[in-house]
Amino acid sequence: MEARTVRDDPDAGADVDGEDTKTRDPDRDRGWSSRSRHVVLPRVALGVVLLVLASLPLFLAPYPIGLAGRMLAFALLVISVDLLTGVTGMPTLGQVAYFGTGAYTAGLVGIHITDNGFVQVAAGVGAAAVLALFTGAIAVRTSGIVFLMVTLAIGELVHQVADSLSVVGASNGLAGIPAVTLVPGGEPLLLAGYVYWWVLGVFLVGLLVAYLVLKSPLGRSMRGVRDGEQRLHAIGQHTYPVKLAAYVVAGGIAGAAGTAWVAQTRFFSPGDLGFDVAAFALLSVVLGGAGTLWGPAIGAAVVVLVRDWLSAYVDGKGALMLGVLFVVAVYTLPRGIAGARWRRRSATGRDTA
Amino acid sequence: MTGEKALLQVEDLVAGYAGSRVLNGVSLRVRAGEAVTLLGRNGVGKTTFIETVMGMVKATSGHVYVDGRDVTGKQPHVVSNAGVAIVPQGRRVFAPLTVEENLEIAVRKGGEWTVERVYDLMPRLRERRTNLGSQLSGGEQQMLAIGRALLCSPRLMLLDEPSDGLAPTIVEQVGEILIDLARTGLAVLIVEQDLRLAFDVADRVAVMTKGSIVHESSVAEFRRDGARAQALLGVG
Repeated sequence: MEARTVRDDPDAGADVDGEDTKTRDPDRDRGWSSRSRHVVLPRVALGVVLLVLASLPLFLAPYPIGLAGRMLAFALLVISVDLLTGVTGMPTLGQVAYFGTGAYTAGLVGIHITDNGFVQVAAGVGAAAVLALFTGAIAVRTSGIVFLMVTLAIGELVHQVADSLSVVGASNGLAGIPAVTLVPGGEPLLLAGYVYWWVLGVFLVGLLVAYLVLKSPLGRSMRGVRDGEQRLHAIGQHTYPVKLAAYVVAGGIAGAAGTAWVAQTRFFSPGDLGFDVAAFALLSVVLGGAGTLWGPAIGAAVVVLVRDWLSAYVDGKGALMLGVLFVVAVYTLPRGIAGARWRRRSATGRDTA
Repeated sequence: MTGEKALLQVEDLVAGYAGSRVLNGVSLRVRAGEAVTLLGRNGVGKTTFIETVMGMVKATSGHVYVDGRDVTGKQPHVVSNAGVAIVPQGRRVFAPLTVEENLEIAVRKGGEWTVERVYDLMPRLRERRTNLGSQLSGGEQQMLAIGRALLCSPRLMLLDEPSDGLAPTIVEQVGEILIDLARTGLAVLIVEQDLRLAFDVADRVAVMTKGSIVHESSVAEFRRDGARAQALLGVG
């Protein structure tokens, strides 16, 4: 397989022709066998990761389990940021608005209506998606740095509203949220391990939705928008509905992340949807590798680990360490964590999720 | 409109970019099923012309009619839906999409072209269907760009220098594909530097200088008068 390493370099498409086209043929025949290998390997890896994630409560203490749960909820928020930033090419700082909307909605439903987890997720996702529809209708008319600024404004606006609205506890935050239950009249999930499994479930469903969208015609068009929006126009596609649909889907997923977060912390304050959270989410995407879903998820885990766990050992200098981490990452991993693998394996020509 | 109704009728088109005027009143017709080549030196406005017809560059004045319908100043997707497809300069395939996705993204429901039909025309693409756009050779990218344009089921195809950056043998292959397409009754407007390709494909020649059309004739007539052609194109 070493020969392929040189041959199928992604840059080879540029302007080399003729001769090169002919010499490729024998390669392709070999490509099929190596292809099945690269379909199987990721599946095995995925199975192992799922197994490890699911079994964490069996051998971790409550505090680390809570940390792992926060990683998953934050990772889902980061995935929603990646859908816009990495996949569609619209860098955003506004997903915290929908994250917060999902969290507050789930919390309020928990306090006033029902402690059923499914109802809370549905309400949180619905509220976040509706807000994304109305705010996105304006935001996606812009692009690039203007879009970034508009989404920053949306995030800050929701932050300000949360900070002053007494229904959601204003700056004190929303407290007294009961533990979620899974069936009507069932036992509330009080043990850290059970709550973690619930968060893991929400995370996996959110990830699955993101993955399915990515593989759908909508996902195809989203990637097309990133690579060349005007070219989509030129082949007859109006891109506004594509971008708005992407924005609403990403908003809904961010809302799900918020419900998962609040199910675990049972408390939510304006600080949880502040600018620093938005910035960390965007940086997790960069760190993990924009455009792949799993890369940013790992980036999110690294960010939470450094901020919440490692910083305890260095006198709360977590933010400083994150800064150093990002500078190092930008220099050594220009394509992020996912890109490190991508570069080594680009030989096979068929990863890049 | 008087006389024979043209599929593409451009009248006195003026366009440019911030502060500089590139097209100074271009008029050109392409009839249904006709293949026209637009020639001219670098920088005379050929690409701007194609992009203005497509609605990617805003026209300052003048008109673009497609099948009698005024599409001047309309968005590119409106022009595309009116039956005009573009194969842009430098191919511009979607690098992060596979060959198949590059084609599927352009498919029109109920259009006469399907992905399978494109594969039949260019079997090379079928072999490469799972490769990313960025992993193709220049010739394959060109085929993909042509296939993508065909899937818009156009009645007129605008090609901006399809030979650009391709090895001579590949240019020949692309030329054969274009000749086949022109025979099916698809109208073609092709901007070219490679005269051989242009003359093989086209019936009629239009020459552009400094943002306006200075010569129009049949290909045969144009080739007969070598001295004139040289003067117009400045090739030596």
